[in-house]
Order: sequence, then C-alpha cells, then structure tokens
Amino acid sequence: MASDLVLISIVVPIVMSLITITIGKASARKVFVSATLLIVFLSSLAIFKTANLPAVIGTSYYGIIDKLIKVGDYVLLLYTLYVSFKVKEPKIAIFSILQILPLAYFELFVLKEQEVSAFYIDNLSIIMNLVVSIVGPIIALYAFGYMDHHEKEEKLVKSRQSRFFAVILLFFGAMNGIIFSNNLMWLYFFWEITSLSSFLLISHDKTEVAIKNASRALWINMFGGFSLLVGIIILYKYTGMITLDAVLKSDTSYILLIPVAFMVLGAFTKSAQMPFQSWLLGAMVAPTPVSALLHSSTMVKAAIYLILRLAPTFRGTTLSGFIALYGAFTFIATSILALSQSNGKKILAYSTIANLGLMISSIGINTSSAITAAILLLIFHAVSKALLFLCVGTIEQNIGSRDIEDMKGLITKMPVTTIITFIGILSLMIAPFGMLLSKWMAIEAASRNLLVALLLILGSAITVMYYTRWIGNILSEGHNSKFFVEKQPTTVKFALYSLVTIAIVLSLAVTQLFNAIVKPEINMLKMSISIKAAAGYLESNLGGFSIYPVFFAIGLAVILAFLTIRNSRDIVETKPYEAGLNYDDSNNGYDVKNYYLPGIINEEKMTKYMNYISFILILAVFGGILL
Amino acid sequence: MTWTDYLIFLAAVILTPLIGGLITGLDRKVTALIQGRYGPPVLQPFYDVVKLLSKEKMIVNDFQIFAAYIYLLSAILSVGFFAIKADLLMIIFIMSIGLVFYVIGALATRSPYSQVGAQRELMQMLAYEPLLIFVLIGMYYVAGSFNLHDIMSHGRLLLDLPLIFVVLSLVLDIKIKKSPFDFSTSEHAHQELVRGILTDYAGPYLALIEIADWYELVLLLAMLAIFWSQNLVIGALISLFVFFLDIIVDNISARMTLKWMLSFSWIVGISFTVLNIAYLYFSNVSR
Repeated sequence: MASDLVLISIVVPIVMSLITITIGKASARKVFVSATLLIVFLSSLAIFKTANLPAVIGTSYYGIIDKLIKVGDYVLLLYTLYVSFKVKEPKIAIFSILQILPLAYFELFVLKEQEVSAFYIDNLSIIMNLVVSIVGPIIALYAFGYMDHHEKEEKLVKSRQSRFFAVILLFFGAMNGIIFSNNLMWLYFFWEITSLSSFLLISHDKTEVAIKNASRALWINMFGGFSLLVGIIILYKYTGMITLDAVLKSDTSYILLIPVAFMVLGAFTKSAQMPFQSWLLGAMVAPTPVSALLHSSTMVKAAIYLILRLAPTFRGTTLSGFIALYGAFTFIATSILALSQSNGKKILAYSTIANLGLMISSIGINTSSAITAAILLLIFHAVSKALLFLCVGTIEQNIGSRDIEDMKGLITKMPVTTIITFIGILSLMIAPFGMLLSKWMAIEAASRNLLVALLLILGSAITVMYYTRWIGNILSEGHNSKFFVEKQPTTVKFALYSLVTIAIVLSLAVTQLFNAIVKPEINMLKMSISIKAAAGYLESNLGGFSIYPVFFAIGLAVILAFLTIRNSRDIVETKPYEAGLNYDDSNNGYDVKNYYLPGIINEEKMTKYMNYISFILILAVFGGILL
Repeated sequence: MTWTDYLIFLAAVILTPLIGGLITGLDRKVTALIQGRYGPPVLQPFYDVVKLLSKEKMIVNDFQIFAAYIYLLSAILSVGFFAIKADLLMIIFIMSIGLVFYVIGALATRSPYSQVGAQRELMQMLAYEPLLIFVLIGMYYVAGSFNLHDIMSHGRLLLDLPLIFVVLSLVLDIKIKKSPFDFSTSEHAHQELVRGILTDYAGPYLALIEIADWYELVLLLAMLAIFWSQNLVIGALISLFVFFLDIIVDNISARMTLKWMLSFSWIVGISFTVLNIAYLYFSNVSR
C-alpha cells in the first residue's frame, strides 16, 4: 500500500509531465495540470495518514525502475553534454564528463547488483513530502494566472507554457524521488533531474541573460552532483553500503565521514551556500513562480533534506562543528549583503541563502533542540518565502518594478496584496511567528558554541533591519490617499490567501505541529528529547517560549486600533510634518531613501572576500574529518 | 502559571510605569541641575502624559494608532514576563516586536523627519539588539539557562560578568537615546523641536509611546539590577548608579556619527563578551 502511494507520488507527476508537454490548448492543459497537482497533494496526505514509520519498503517494480534509472542517468548526462554545446558553456561539459566516466566505471566494475528495498520513509520524509506537495502545487496554481500575464507582457505569439508546466511537474516527481529513495543511486538520479529542471525553468524566457544565468546554475549544480556521486562511490567502495537505511543504521565511524563530507558538499552547492550563491541570485531572472519554487519547496530544500538526513552520521564529530560554523558564516555574510540591496527579489534571495545557512548551522550543532529548530525552520521558511515571492511577483506585474523604493505607498495602490506582504514579512522576522520561534530555539541551542552564537545573533539583528524598512515602505501612505480596489486572477488570489493562512495557522499551532511530526522524528533518531510542547508553550532545558500571550497582545492591539478608529469622532487627519514647507504628495517629493550603507557595504567587493572565507571554511569542513 | 504569577504579572504592569515616570522626572531634574537650571518638578513626566492623553487625536494615517498600541502592549508583556521570571531571550524578542512597529509607524508617514528618524532608530536597534542577546549569552554561561529564575538564583552575577555588565550599560545608553547615541530622537535635555522618529506621533498616541518607553527603561534597569540578585536593593542601587552615569555622559558628550556608533557598539560588545566568557573558563565558573 505505502509503496504504491510513494510510487504514485514519484511516477505520476513524471509521466503526466511527459504528456503535458504535448498539450497545446490552454484550457485542456490547465485541467490536466490541476488534476496532477491534486494527485500529488492527495498522495502526500495519504502517505502521511497511512504509513507506519519508520519504514523500509520494497516494491515489485524494483527491477524495471532500477533499469530505467540506470539508462536515465546516461540520457540525462548526455543531454547536459548537448546543452553544454548549445549554450556554449564548457564547464557544464566538464562536469557532465566528470560524472559519466566514474558512473560508468562504478556501475560496470564496482557495483555488485543486488535488489535492495526501494523506499525509506520516516517523519522527515513525510515532512519534506508535505512541504513539496502543499506549497509546490499552490505555487503552480499561481503560475496559471502569472504566466498568462507574463506571456502578454512578453508579446509571445506561441505560448511556451506547455513546456513550463511540464518541467514543474517533473520537478515535483524528482523531489519526491529524492525524498523517498532508499537506494543512493536513485537519489543521485533524481538529484540530477532537479538540477536539469531548474536549468530549464530559469532559461524559460530564452533571453540572453536568462540562458547565461541558467547555464551557471547548471554547472554549479553539476559540480554538486559530481561531489554527491564521488561521495556515494567512496561509500560503496569502502563500506559496501548503497542504501540510506544501511548508512543510518551503521555506527558512526571515521570511514563514513569522508563520503558524508562529499555528499554534504554537494548539498552546499544545491542550497547555494557561499561561495556557490551566485546561481540562486542569477535564478532571479526567471518568472516569479520559478523563483518561488526554487527558494521554498523544491531545489534548495532538497539540500537541507539531505544534510538533515545525514546528520546522525556526523553527530558529535569535529566535522559537525565546522558545518555549524560554515552555515553560521553564510548566514551573517548574506544577511549583510541583503542589507545593501533595494531590489525586492534580491533581498528575498539573499535572505533565503541566509536562512538556509541558519538551518545548516543548526544541523551542525546537532543537538535535539538544534535539529528541531532546523526542521521547523525548513517548514516555516518554505511557506513564508513562497508567499513573499508570489507577493513580489504580483506587485511587479502591477507596478512594473521590484525595487522596494518604488513600493512606497503601495498600500493605496494594492491594499490587499500589501497587507498580505506585510503579514508575510512579519512571519519571517518577529515573534510569535514560527520562523522567529525556531530562531529562538537555534540561538539557545547554539549558545554553547560561542562563535556560532555570535554570528547567528548579529545576523538576525541585521535581518530585522532590512525587513522592517521594507514593511515601512509598502505601508507608507500620503495624505488623503485614495485606496484602489485590486483586480487579480482567481488563481493568484487563491495562492496568496491560502499561503498566508497556512503561515498564520502553522504559527498558532506550532506546538501541535511539533508534537505531531517533529517529535517522532527526534525520537526516531534516538536523541533525548529536550523540548516539551503543550498548550502554546515550548519548553527546552534552557528556557521556554509562550506563544499565545504574544498573539493575544497583537490581537488586542488590532482590536484597540480598530475600535479607536471607528468610535472616535474627533480624530483629525493631518499632514505629515515638513517644517512649514508645502506638503508634496507625489512620489518624488521630499522622499527619503532607506539607508543602504553604501559606504560600508560594497556588494561586489564584499562578495569576493566572503567567498574566500567560505572557501577556507569548506576546506575546514573537510579538515574536520581528520580531527 | 499559578495565581501568584498572575498577581505578580498584574502588579508589575501597574507599578512599572509609575516607577518609570518617576525615574524620568528625576532624570530631568538632575540634568537641569547639571546645566545650572532649576528644572521641572519630578512629577512633570506624568503631567505631560496626562496632558497628551487629553489632547486632540491627530494622526497622519491610521497605522500609527496600531503601531503605538502594539509598542505599548509588547513593552507591557515583556515587563510582565520579566516579573514572573520567564525566559529572558523570549522577553527580548517580545520587546523587539514593539520596536519594529514603532519604526514602521514612523516610516508609514511621509514626513522626511520621521523617515530619517526611523532609519536612524533602525541603526540604533542594529547597534544594541545583538548586544542585549550577548548579555544573555554571558548569563547563560554562568547560570546554565536562559530562564530568569535560574539566572537570579546565581546571586552575584556582577563578580563573574563585569564586562558583560558594561555591555548592558552601553545598551541602556543607546536604548534610551542619550548622547552620544541620540540619533533617532533627542532626549528632553536637548530640547529639539523636531524629534525624528517621534515627529508625526502626536497627542494620545505620543502618550502611549512615552508610557511604553517608561516600561522599557524599567525593564533595562531591572536587567542591570539582577546582576546583584542576592540583595535586590543593592541591585537597584547599582542600576540607578549606572543610570546616573548615563545622565552625566549625556550632558558632557555630543552626538557622534551612526557609523561610529555601530562599530563602537559591536566592537565593544563582541570583544567584551568574548573576554568575559574566556575569563569564566579560566576561573572555572562556566557551567
């Protein structure tokens, strides 16, 4: 039963993707894609409800899938080789060949064929699967409205949406493949599919800059795939293990750390950690739903998933300590870079990399509260970041800019979207929303490791600054401004409303969320649970956090403000103070720009030095094996 | 929470603004004496707030009302949680909710004075927020917990965390916007008519912010006081002494630049934290 459901969640989107590419008619395609999304969503719920965890399950189709994947590997790599010539990027070819040769050698001469259990399911897989299958489809639905508008803007004669949605479905299938595969060679195959899919999605607009950025994304991720493959080969060669459950069952040993370090390096590239961040920043040229997907529920989260998966193998080692430090460094470095940006999408991109760094750092700290923090961060970040990207996309299609300076007075032009964006940003930065709660947990967990703790603290203070001024910009309104009523496509509205609801509900129900799916995972990892959660109160052995009083205070403030505005007749609307000068209500009157600190932060120069430091830290991560 | 907890919570919420207002009144008196003036009566801050509360409700936009309420409520909540000895890190995070809204409230009006003030307040937050958490990290190294209850049971933190105490004093100075750190708005003593971030807050909503400021002042002084939690009277005297020093520094120094503030506070904050924790290891206090 469970194996069939898992198979459905992987195979159905992939098969449907191949069909979608042939459907030219818009309405038929929409119905077809929606049906697939529904299947993906329902299968994830079914797996969540029915699976007995943790489970290692086989399938009767093992042989045929394994053959398909073996062939698929070569097809995929040869295709990237072809892409390399098409886009004239030799680095893609180099990393394709670097994968084909060892892969062929490994499969022909080293690997001894044996049937293993196909799937590995535990709470972590379930969590990831739910994130992919709930946030992902919402973004895909949003893309219906967005892409129509986008193609109108681009003045396309022939729609390219068939290909677009086909790749998105393929992406979901591949993500589920990564999540459930027990055989590491399968995981590697699906991992590579996501790299290729993200190339296809980023290059969607076929402009010169899109193709350039897409090919950079591809070669960086191909490097990551290479590192993953090397990890798997070394693992098999020295320990004879090729499955996830075997790795997780084996005792932590020195020899295990070497392949694990290579696999983690592969994950660093996929999660765009420094110095590999450029691909994710470049991915901003893609249509917004693509950015939202890459940043929230797919791609980068696959990397976090893999590191979380491997966490038990390096618990308590020096390697783990260096991973914590490396993540913390990326967190603060990209937070500083985000501070210097006024491009909304770029701020979001840097903050994604920063938050992934925070997750990696937490995984590196590797105590039960740190792992809890990492898992919660993964969930809350997926929802809030998807929401914010979709908000920026919607704003951009309406005002024609993604610069936060141009978003001044947005509340009068797009009141509903502004309020949703406002809540979305709050959900990323202040208590009692889940992200901050997880950050609280991460800082408490990190406090033993002074250097990591300092980096995390400074980084989160910077986060507050760049998000606060953004909110200030969108909420600022002139005198007696007229509020407009927004018109949005239904799918866009649906996506925004549902994501903002999920963000609020998950934050309110964080204790239930913890007890239902995070706690069993920690239990399964056989770590002592240091966190208790009940009735809106999360307690660790270092302290505790009550959520309800804070929600109550915010609710009370809303009610009080509302009552004041409604009941008092003596409120006087006045003009902003301008020291006696005539008030200018236009956008470019006496406008004050945000502080971007150009005197302190120079993006280009700083990136260079930060890349050097992160490179050294990666060397340290590998050095951590020896210590 | 037990019933006594609720009572303590309530008592703290009621008493704190009274104490805060009095301390602010004393501040104005002492400042006046230093400057050779007679100064207003000690109860002047209360008169001011009562007057503001009864003034016309003048706003630039509706969001300001919400911002003022939430700033006050988060300050009240953090003081209440402090009184029942909850997790200090949580208290700081709750306090910062209000501050974020305080800044957004100013940014939401289009006055260039509010805008500049708000940007500067953000820089001030960037300077002191991490320091505040460094202080907690220091306490954690001594007490093994972030819970105020456990931290207070340690007794004389000051002897183990002298440098961290200095960091907290610095935070107090930046937080209550005294020279050389009075960027976002200047304190009473400097009598500037246009008050940066506060420019567009007026009438009752300005009063709410004043009251919230009192809560936050008392909260910080209380955090200084728990460095001598063995005898809280001594603790209170120590914190009042630090406050007195701040008043003197305020009167003998001029405003510096934002860049200076940021580098000064981070350098002092980071190096003092690290040195103090290194000292703990050498003296085997660290748990």
